[in-house]
Amino acid sequence: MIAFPCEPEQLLFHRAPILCLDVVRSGSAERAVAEGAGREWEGALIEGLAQTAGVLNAVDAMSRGVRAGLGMLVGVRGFSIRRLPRAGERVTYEVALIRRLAPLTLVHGAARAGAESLAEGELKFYAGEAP
Amino acid sequence: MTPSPPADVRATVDRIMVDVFECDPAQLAPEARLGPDLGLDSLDGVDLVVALEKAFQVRISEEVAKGIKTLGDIYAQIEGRRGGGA
Repeated sequence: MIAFPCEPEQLLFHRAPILCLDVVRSGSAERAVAEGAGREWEGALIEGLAQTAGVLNAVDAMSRGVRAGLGMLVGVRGFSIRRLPRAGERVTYEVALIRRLAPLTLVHGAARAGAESLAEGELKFYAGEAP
Repeated sequence: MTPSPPADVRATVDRIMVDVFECDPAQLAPEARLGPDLGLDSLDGVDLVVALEKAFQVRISEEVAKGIKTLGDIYAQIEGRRGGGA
């Protein structure tokens, strides 16, 4: 099993420059917390949360003894952005499982800068298993 | 002949289908298939399960969810769970 904190590359296929996470603080099949440097772009907040959902799914796959396959963000609902992070500002991404119905996972995601909420909403994620 | 679902179950399920999935109320019949007739796609299943679980305070297993093909299947599953089914 993975020991946390860990490098996101241990759990995700993403690499720079699209990788939004610098470190995964914690991860389970139900909840994951990661951090990354903020980018002044709405899509990066959603992508950071999607990658954190990828962590959640990777840990879930590992707990079931299978390898996580490629995942994809397939839906966003009720997502609100209060403000964009400043470039380089530390952003914490946290996702919590709402429901998993393989191959789909529905999570609530929240992005924060310190104690300040930046954005939150529901994300739907497709997670296949590695062939 | 399939017994009719209780009116409150049917009304609540139908409201979810209209409000969440924008189904045509005229298409809401027990024999209506979720995909071909009501327009739900492969990504809608998890949203449907969450909406039903929230509305009826029940738990729908992945195995049961995958077996739901028609609106009548939903009525039957909800009624079974509210009656104490697994």
